[in-house]
Amino acid sequence: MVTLVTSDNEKFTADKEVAERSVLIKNMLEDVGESDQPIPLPNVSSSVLKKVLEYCEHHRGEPLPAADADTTQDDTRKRTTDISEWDQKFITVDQEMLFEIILAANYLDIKSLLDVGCKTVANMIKGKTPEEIRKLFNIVNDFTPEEEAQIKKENEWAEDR
Amino acid sequence: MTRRTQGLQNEQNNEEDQDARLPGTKHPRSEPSDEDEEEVRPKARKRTKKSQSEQPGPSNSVSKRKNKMPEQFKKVRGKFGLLQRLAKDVPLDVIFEVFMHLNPSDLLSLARTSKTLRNMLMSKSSASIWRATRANMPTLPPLPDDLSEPQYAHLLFSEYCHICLNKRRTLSTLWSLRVRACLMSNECPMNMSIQFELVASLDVDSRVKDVLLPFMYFKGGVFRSGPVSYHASSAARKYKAEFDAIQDADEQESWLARMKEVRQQALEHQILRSNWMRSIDEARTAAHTAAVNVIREQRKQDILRRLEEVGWREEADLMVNSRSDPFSKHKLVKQGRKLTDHNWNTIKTELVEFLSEQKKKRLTSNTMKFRFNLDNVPEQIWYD
Repeated sequence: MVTLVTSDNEKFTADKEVAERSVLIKNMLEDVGESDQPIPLPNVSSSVLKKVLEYCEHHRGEPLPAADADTTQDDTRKRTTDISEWDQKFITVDQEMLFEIILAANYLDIKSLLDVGCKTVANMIKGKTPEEIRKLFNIVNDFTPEEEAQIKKENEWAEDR
Repeated sequence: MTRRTQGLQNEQNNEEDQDARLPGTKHPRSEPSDEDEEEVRPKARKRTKKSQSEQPGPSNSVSKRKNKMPEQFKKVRGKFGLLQRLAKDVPLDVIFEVFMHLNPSDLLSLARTSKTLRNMLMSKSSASIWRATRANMPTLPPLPDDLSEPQYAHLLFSEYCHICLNKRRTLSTLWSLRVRACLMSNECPMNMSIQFELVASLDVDSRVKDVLLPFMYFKGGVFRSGPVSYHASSAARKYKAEFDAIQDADEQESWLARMKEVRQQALEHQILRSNWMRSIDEARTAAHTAAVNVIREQRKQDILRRLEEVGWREEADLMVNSRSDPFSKHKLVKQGRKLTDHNWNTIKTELVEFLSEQKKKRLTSNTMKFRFNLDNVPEQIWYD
């Protein structure tokens, strides 16, 4: 078992196999060797870690992506926005939690979870007009009407202008 | 990009600090995006933040500010500016992870939502994101040499007319002119003639004229004697300036050769694009037909169910199961729209009439068949 301590000082225990789905934790464990020392996760809060561990628990035993997965970024896994049914349910959270999960997955280096989070955001954006995107994500339109008309015409790289 | 974002953030933070002195007008939460929103829609505050430490708090300026704020103002609104926070507070590679699942048209839309996202996406350093999104559409022809990534997306997917800037449902992409326009509207052709003029009137070297991009041939109309080539006058001026700046004759020639090559590639690219457009149209038509068929089938089943309630289902089923199936082909049945109560009430009488008519016909022909069969009975037995 591994003990994890969140930013709000809550302790979580998890099976080593579950916790090691996080490459960060895996590396930390390898560094400290056999030890009962709790692992501090100052960037993750308890509510988020709970979610993350739920995810790792569900996917325990599944093969982890290769360490050098970045070199094979062009594979189809990346390209589709399909999300499995369980993951879909898991990630149906409010935007704040979704954001925190993405941050945590990035920090803890859990590639598949980061992928699910990013795909979810992408699916929210797909096919929407600028106005719809603003509404959905609470983005403030900081263009003046003149600027807005102008940007419709300007599609060149910013440096080229 | 990071530096620019940082700058933006600092600016905003300064503003916020000022505003924070007016209690209640601003909420003190960390995200710059939320502050932005607050200015526009101050009503939307809902959720109370549970604990401060719950927030990983990715930026330093944020936590500094937080400490200044009195506890009672530490509230957060229910809705959350996720995307703007992603764009501001998250490492670029994570945003890349999100954006690479999109299509170029989505990037274009994102770049038109706010300044932060625009600065990020319209920067040349984001070219790899655009490339990745194009890879999501494997049939999309490659980027033409004379266009930038956003320009290409704009040409392919823009939902409004490039010329009159109105949003239109039907837009045609004039590839060779590098324009996507609604040619039906009144204001457009007029604007076209203003923006695209005969290059002859621009006094351009004829050799430059031959390599100009974009261009469009018109085969000539009632008032014109022969084919003319139209160009965007702005492009013609740019080409002319480039050409005129070259003094050396050899260099001029090599410039011309290079531009000729670009134009040749553009022409070849055009074929790819028109094939691609055709395949898109075909796929769209097929998808539409499939969708209508589903609705049609549903309507038929709904009608059959209703007929069952009034005792005509059996007769209809007989027809459905027959080879010619006149029921499914009936004009009231084969429509591609959902059956509503109102709709059912209007078509009911006519359908029942049709069914009773069919029943009458069926019964008569059955009697005939029966007689016919009887006549043949001895012979059948004989042959058996």
